[in-house]
Amino acid sequence: MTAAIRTSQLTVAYASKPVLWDVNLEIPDRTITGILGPNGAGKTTLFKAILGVVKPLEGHVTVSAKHAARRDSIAYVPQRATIDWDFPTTVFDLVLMGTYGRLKWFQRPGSAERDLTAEALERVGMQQYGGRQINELSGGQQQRVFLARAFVQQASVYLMDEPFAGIDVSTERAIFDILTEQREVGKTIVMVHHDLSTVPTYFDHVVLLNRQLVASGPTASTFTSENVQSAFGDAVRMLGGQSS
Amino acid sequence: MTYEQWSLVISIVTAVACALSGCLLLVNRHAMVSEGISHAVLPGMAIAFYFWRDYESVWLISAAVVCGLVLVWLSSWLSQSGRVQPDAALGIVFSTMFSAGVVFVSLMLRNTHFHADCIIDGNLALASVRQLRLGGIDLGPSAFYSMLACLLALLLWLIVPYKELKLSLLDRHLAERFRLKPRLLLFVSLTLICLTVVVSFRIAGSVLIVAMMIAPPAAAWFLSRHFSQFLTLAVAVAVLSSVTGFYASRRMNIAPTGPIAAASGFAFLLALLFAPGVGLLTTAIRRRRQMGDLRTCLTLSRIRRCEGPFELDSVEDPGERSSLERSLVRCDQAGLLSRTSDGRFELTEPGLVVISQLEAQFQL
Amino acid sequence: MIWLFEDHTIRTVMLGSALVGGISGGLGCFAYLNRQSLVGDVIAHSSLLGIVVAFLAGGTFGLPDGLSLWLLMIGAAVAGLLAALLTQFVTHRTRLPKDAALGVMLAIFFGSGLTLLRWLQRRSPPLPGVAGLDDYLFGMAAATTSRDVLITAALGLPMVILAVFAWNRLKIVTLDAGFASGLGVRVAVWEVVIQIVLVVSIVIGLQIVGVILMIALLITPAAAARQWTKHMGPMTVLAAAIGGSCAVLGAVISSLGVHLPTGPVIVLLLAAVFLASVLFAPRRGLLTFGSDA
Repeated sequence: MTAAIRTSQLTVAYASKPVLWDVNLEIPDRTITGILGPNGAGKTTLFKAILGVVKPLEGHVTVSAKHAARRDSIAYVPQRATIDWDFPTTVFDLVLMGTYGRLKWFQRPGSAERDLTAEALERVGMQQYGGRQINELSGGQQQRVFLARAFVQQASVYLMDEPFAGIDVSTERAIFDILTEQREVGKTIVMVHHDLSTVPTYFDHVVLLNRQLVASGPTASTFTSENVQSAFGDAVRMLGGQSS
Repeated sequence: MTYEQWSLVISIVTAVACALSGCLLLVNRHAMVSEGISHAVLPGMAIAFYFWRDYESVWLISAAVVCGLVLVWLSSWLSQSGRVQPDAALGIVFSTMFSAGVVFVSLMLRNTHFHADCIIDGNLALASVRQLRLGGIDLGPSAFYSMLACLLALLLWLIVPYKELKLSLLDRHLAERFRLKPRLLLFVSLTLICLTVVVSFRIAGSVLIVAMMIAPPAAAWFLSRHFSQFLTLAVAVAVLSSVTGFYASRRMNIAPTGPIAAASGFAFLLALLFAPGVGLLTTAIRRRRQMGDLRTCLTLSRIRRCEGPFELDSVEDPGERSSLERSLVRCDQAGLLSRTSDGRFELTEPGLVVISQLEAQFQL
Repeated sequence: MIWLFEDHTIRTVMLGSALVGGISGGLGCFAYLNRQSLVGDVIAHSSLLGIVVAFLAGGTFGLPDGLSLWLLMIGAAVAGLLAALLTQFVTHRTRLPKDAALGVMLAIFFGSGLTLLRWLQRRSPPLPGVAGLDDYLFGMAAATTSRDVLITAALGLPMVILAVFAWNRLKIVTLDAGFASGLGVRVAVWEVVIQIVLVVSIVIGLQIVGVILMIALLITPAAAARQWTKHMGPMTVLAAAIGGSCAVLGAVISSLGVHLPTGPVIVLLLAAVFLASVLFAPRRGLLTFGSDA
């Protein structure tokens, strides 16, 4: 299997505190990969390093040529809490923003972009909400909209930061099914995830991270209780292998 | 005491009272509420002044304090309604109240000394003129006594319910669970803050009150570890900057509030740069050293990971190789590494000690 | 009312106010949506230091009047931008809350600005034009000359053009900087651009509204317009319209008979529009039937 993203000796430090330490990992192409680790393990920083937003102290990130074709070929789906949902914009408009990276900076989105947006909304089952203001959505709907925005970006890699936080189980399932479809058409999905109980069903590949790389590989061989314990420490043992 | 000495004393008392009430706002992350209050009290003062023509009337002070509380209530109500962003709500309400005050002053109080300049700079000179007389004995300017009373009320409020107040400011929910009545404590604190603003208004003017309220606690923020130390240091900065500012203003022959505010601002800058442990300059120096340590640690751990000596040519990326080479040379000079006869690198005994020290330091 | 339009002075005042109110009100939407309302307040206050220093420099080098007005505007912009960037720097680099950082900038910039201003005013013989500096505190629209209008247009219109052309970028960076960086947008650069737009839209309003109340012209139109629409484009246009019309009306009221400072009158008009919007706007209005959408 080829690697979509590879980091070698990646070390990132904020204010002289190492956040990522000497991380060597490969995220294989056409998989759904879960990034697991406790708070402060450097998961979001790993995403930022992949996007090139933070500069590593040492080491580097290589994105395979197929995914590095355009500067917006990696889509970042931030945590829902990071945006102001009272912003004056509609659902359709928010999704349309996924095309902004391709547009020149004075260019308005045209009918091609609008068609893409309508199609993406339909794919996540939100077509009837296009005209709604974004503050009228539930948490699950917000996440679907974020996903549609990433589709519109026509990226080949999706980096998703805790997409399932605060979402009910049935929506989570529905979103996951959409992501599985995306994998089948050749996309690579990388996701920060917290619910350890769903890991074996969701992910082809897992990365266990606690500033240093604990383990990385196919879920079956990597998601073992020893690895989980060495990533999360004693907290997991107390919860009997389940983390909230 | 001479007139000048009285003015200095009044400046100091005002600065200290402002700094203490600023501490209350700052720990609650509501520093800019002081900007709002100091503007919003104007209409209350102006209207009361129109009727009673007396700065020290209880009516004027109460009207102004009520205006300050109205601002806090109205802006938090607006932002909680979800229709307006919190800091915009504050800005809209205070600018409106202040404008109403200015318009009232320009229409109804045009020929009094309640004019625009006084609103901005305050009027210490005028405040020091009116004397308090008791039984025929001259006790000095009455402004001093009203300011002092305000300061004493603040001190009393900070000392008596100290632990309750501290908890309410830092963790309101816990304080609620302990039945410490944080809402009441907050209300009394706000009232006292408004009172401080009103009493200082005439001396310091509206805009500079904010400076005198925020800059000393902000400077103290960098220098202190506990709440009590924070309060003490804020007072110290306030005293220092009011004395400096006062003498500067005498030299320049202008009202002292501007220089006092500027002096406390520069005190903050000094703390920002040089505060031990957290100042920008001290952290920059420490960070530089730590970044060096981080690189050393990274290089040494890479060599340790190798089975057998480390070969530089095994690194493919040319940029990485050159940066690694620099680090290797540094470590070699420091005696942490040794070179084998074929130019490869090995860890030495001191190297092993240093790497375990560094790993402990960075919690790896 | 026809005579209003025939009088050249009043026509200039109205044109100037309309320009300033429209530009500051419209571009103020970026400040509002970026949650930078109080930053705008601090930028406005801080610009006083720049104005006074520029005045001093202009006086020292004996610049002609026309140039020195430009100098004042540039000085104001530089000081305002410095205060904004310094606030950002302090909040990023230290644990000081943003509020406190803003208050301190007021102390440093407005404190030293006012100190210098009062010192200049005490100097004898007085420097020519020093009396006019006081107008920057509360604004004096009546003193607007056609040269002021020209300067306002020369500074403000490029910002409007920039906002129109870079609309996509400004919008995405304002709404979701994290996602924008994934699109390949250079977020850090655009954040500085937004600061510059903000500073210019503040600086051009100083002469009419004054440093103390400038925040209202920046924020209130945006907050009022926000209640009526769910799109950012119409919100900006509406905010510009509200800002422009209130500024014109306020300038006219203060220029007539009674000697009222312009700034506070404009602010009160804006507040009335804001109140009406919050209470009665469809869907969002607090008193509108079937609210709580």
